[in-house]
Amino acid sequence: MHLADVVFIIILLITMAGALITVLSGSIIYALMGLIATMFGIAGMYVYLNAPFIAMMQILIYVGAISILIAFAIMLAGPMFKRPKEWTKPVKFISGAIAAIVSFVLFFTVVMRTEWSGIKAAEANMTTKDIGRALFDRFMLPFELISLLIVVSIIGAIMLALYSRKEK
Amino acid sequence: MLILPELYLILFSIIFLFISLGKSRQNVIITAKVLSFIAFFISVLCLTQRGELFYSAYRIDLYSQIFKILIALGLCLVVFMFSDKDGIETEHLPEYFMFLSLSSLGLMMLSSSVELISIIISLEISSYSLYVIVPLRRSQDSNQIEAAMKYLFFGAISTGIMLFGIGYLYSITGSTFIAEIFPQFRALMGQTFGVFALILTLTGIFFKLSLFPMHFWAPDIYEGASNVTTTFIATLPKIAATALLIRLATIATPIHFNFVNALIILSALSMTFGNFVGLVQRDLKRLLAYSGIAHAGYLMMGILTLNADGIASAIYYITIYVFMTLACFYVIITISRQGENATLDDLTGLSKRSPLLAMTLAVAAFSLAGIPPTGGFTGKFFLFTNAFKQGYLPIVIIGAVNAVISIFYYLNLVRMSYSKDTTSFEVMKLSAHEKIICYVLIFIIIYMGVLPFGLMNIFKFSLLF
Repeated sequence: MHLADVVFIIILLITMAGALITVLSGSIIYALMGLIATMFGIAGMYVYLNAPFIAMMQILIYVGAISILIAFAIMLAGPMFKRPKEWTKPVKFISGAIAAIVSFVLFFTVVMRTEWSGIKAAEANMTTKDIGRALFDRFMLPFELISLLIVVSIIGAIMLALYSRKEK
Repeated sequence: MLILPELYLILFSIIFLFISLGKSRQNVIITAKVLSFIAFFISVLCLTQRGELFYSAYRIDLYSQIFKILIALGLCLVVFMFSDKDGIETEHLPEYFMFLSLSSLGLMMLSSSVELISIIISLEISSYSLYVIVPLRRSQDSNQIEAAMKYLFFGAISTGIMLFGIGYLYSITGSTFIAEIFPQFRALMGQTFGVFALILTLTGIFFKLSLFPMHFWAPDIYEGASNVTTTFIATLPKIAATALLIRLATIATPIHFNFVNALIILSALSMTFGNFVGLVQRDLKRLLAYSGIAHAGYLMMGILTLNADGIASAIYYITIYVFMTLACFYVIITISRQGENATLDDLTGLSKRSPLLAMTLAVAAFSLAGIPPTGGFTGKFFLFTNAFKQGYLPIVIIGAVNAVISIFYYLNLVRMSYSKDTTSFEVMKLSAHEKIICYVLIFIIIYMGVLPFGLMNIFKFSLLF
């Protein structure tokens, strides 16, 4: 076994363990911690696949921003850190497991039934500089549109916040 | 000049942003009506524009301009249908119109974008604006909040699935530009993976169209949102979704059977489900939601032929669908004076209370059911013949059976408004403005039924891109 394989397996174990903690733990705070571990694991996977920029983005956005957001939501939502009993009924586990298995089998068959030889992989040697370049020439339209999207969501969020405050 | 309609809609929303900052709420509706009419006028002026922008990520051709005109006309009609009794707080009116125009802007960009990331972001611009205006409704219960949450979650999930599909498309072709995907995809279409990726990508569009597996949101959101908001959600996003669906589905030419079979199944399930559940609805808006699901099925029948005639008939059908749905919703908006949801019982004796509204409803219902000489009949006729010519006999039969089933509940609307007697009725006075909208809608529906070939030729011509 190569050293690379060992690294891969360790990353995989971290990701899987985090995912299991997220789903199974009884407290929402632990579930959040599990989620963070999963996100770190996925970032590690990106590093392993030679995509350091995406790995950095993964850590910045998911570990840095979204987890904090979830933590704030838990904090503000009140004493909900214990997971409510009705969330962990056996029926839910079974239906969740069935959904997971079905999607896994579907994905697995699709991947296995495809002949990959005729498909050329997308360009892999992207550096941060290339990404920056691409954002300002070929992908200028989406880049500009994102600013509009952010304006829409900010104005909408402010309006709804004021709207719900007035209702109380 | 090329993107004048889009720029104008940005101006439109900025104007309302500034009005919302001020205190005065007096002339908001009038301003909106004037500005939306100008939007329609400008988009007609730009019909013959041709060109590519932003490193060919944005294409302006006859095809996209036709859809932009439809969207602008839809926006114009929706704004004209707005009355101050509709249950939107007066205080929030400027924001409301701002988000309507931003949503239309997103839809217009959707019909012109030929690059997958731009497509996703334009789709999100239009969706976010709608998520925000769904809960704006003056009412006692918290139905509208629930509707908004459902819409948000379903929208997020469908966007997620669509992004997943786009990720696959990118990973197997190495490009997000449709023009570059197209030649490479030809080799992939025989592969399971190619079909899988394309269907996942189309999921986000199915959500907008409320086609069968992604239809769950429609009835609840139609019921929870205010009448005018529902009118907007039921019509405009479907126009842009059709434009996009056609652009993406034509990647799959030459025809591959896995893909077409998947579309046939979705189409059949969608119309059967929509029509059967539609039979038992009492709430008019829920009824129209199920009718929308069924019509999305009919529409797919044109697209799955994947040839110019079939696709032109799909464009024709979405055009007439927009006008007949607008007519139905206009009747609902007008008979519910407080902005509440109308039920079937509210229609009793409508022909005595207001003959013109009853007439509008009758024309729209006949058209939805597909009875000549209305546009719905002509549209269905085109769809069925084109699917038949391509040899998809089973879906034609299912479609015809469904058309017969749907006649029952559409004509039930007419029966309620014409034959049921009501004990106490007060005559509804329609203002000149309301009458003009009724006449315009009736005229368009009948015109598209009687003289279809001019429009049909334009649509066919636009497909030669």
